[in-house]
Amino acid sequence: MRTILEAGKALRAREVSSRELTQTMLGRIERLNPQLNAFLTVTSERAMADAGRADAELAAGQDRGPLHGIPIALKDVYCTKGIRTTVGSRLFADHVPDVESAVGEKLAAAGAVLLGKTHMHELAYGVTSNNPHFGAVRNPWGLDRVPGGSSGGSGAAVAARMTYMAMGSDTGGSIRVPAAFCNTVGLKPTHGRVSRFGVMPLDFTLDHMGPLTLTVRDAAVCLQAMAGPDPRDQTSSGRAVDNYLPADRVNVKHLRIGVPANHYFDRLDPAVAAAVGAMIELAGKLCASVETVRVPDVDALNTVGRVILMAEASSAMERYFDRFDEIGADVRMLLEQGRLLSAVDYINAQRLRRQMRDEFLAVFEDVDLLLTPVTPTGAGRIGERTVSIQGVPEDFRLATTRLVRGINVLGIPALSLPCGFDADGMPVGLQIIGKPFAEAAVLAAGAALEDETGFWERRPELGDTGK
Amino acid sequence: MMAKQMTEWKQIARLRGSKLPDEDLDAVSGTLEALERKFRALEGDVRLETEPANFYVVPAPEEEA
Repeated sequence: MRTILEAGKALRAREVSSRELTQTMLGRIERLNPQLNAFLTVTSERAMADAGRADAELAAGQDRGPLHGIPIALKDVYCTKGIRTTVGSRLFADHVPDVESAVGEKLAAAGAVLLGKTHMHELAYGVTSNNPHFGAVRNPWGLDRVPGGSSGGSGAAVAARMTYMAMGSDTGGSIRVPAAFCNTVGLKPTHGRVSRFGVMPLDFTLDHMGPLTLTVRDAAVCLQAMAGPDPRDQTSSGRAVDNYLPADRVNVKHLRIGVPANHYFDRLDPAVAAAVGAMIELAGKLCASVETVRVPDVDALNTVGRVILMAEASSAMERYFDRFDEIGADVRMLLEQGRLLSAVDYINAQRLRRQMRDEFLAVFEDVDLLLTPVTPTGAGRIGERTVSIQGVPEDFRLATTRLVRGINVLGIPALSLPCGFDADGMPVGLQIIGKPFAEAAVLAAGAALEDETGFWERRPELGDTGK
Repeated sequence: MMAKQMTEWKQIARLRGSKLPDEDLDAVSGTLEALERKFRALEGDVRLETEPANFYVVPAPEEEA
């Protein structure tokens, strides 16, 4: 049972129980977590109790849907009532929330079984998940490599088959980057589609909540369970929730694909360019059309995004200013920078954002989806601060986020889909970007490409065959 | 960033109580200077004459279709 949908079928056919699925995952966590450090907290007792309840309900004919009895994990930024939530920081090392996140509530109501909390970059403010307090998360595809971040534990855990799904949060690529680096699917929905209530904020207007899974259809059933309005999150949308699950033989002949001529294909590792290029060629066979389009200045969009992120993240953490010396050096530096920006800078950045959003959305008058790489390279080595792309050194954080950050500024949906491997055997991701609330189209295109390629089926060598 | 001269980031950091050592403040200052150069070039792009007064900074979720 490799996926949520496969496991769900087996559960309903009584070929396996939720307790057995959960025990298998807990066993894999026990074996693999010492090398990967993907989980910060494992909730074994609760998981087995939840699984027992799920089995009893199914036996009694009560079926909560596709996530019923499925073991999942939450990034340690999601508040879990009565369970430690560290946000990957010493500041919250002993923090036990008295609230549950809206996402956690919805997943529990859908019958999911919580295995534990996944590791992350400190305060969700970085792309390596090289955490000075709780140790580095390691990439299952190369233990000396970063898994990406900030949801690095979620990416590593899904890739290593330690859980069927792990939630991430994405402020500037933090779902899509670890998904790309770990060969998993990662979905960042439209801003307002999934409630942010009960998630420790990094940034008040850029944070998005979404799942990392092995397949696109698994991501779709997870989004189905968590999407929808929540009065506790004022930016949550009242728009009706679509049917997200792509059909078994999904037809995408109606979709018009755009490939940006500017920005997104500048300075790429040749292997990334080749892998993404092959997916675009395939999209040309499956979809209505593929055409080159020009998008507004994404470098400017990223600049605006950095000003907003710095100001809002520092605002969120200002109450801890007297304890900044307890924060790791990289994150502390960013928080110190954000405190210095002026109110004028911040407001002008938000004004520019609104204007740029209008300009960017005009691109979707001619196409339904954009295809781009997620990152310009595969995963770098732990501890490396720069990356060389076509012989030019770049700051690793800025390079890794330059194709994804702008999408958070726009608040539109984007999916990271496995699409190949680089010369070192590190995974590469394709980014599928849609207009606001077009998650169904994004997922349909992702599923169609996935069905033809199946990169998700490749597993990292961990000396463990798994189940 | 609206000022014509580049901002004295290190000085502002000290005024706002930063306890970072000098060498770290130099790094902070360098990063912000690079960002300032890029951002200052964009600020003139805001179209004041067509911008409705609005303090709603979050992208508005679309209402029911």
